Amino acid sequence: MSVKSLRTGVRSFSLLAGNVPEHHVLLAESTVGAGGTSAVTFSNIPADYQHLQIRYMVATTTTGNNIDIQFNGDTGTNYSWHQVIGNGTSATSNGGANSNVGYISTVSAVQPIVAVADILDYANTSKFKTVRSLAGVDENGAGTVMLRSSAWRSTSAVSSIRLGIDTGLIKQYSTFQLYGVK
Amino acid sequence: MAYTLIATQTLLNPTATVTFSGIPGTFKDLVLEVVSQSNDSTGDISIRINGDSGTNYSMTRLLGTGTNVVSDRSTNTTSWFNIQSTSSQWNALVVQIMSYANTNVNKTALIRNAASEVLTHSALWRNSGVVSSLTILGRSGGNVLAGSTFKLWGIS
Repeated sequence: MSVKSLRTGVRSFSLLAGNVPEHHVLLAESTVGAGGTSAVTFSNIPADYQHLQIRYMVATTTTGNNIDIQFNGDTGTNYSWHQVIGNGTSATSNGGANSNVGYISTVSAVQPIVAVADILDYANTSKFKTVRSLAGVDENGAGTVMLRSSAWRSTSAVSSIRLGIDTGLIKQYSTFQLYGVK
Repeated sequence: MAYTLIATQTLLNPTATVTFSGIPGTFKDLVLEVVSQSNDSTGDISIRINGDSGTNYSMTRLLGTGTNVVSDRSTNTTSWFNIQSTSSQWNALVVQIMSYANTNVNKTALIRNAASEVLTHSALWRNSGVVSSLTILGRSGGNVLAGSTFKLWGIS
């Protein structure tokens, strides 16, 4: 149904029932409880989708570290990463090779950091896996915004994802969602 | 269904403010998709939450101009702005307000825009309240132009 305002000429629609084919499906979610945690793991990820998307809002006990990512329990030096990052003063780009983790975002003990990370063709056994992420936090006088890519040099289908903090804890009320994209 | 279209608006006339109100608190994240122009003197639009016009907003920006890449920030502002930078092109803008209904944290958003520049922001609203309305307006009192479209999605 649409309604046109005679005063403003604005045409508006309300479609609470939704009209979008279901192509984003919530596979799993995790909300951190009291006491915090050093990592969240999504396991038994079905191979039925085209891509995966991770969305999170994280508050942490430390600033300046990272939320990192590992796949299928692989702790070997099979990851690499790059970033473009702005800290409110300057923009830089750097990266790392032969790492035992990929990196999604930095963390903040002051305000929640948020991220959206996509893993395209996660179940394709002919391709290495690439994560692209957009993340940021603003602290009203500090903060960062970043674009990151991480590569996992494995053709295995992604069946589990571990998201961890390299130092400190992920605090209570932090949330993580994993979506399958058709 | 993860993505639900909550509401959409298409401007038939230049409009000073565009408001989405009565946003249900039942989703996890909000995504606002905008294709717009403004005749504001800055070419820019602003976003306010829940009608809050206090100095409760701030942003960190990463900007590529085609010549330079820079990062800067704005603190204690009365809205999120520097979102679009030109009045002569249609800006394609996506605002993701994460955990918008979580009353245990302040609200952080990711904002991406593309027009004559590529912009990415992390944006903070220093309020733990549930986001129940969004207002888009010209940054310095100008209008958002006819043909501008706005879609508000909820992610479950």
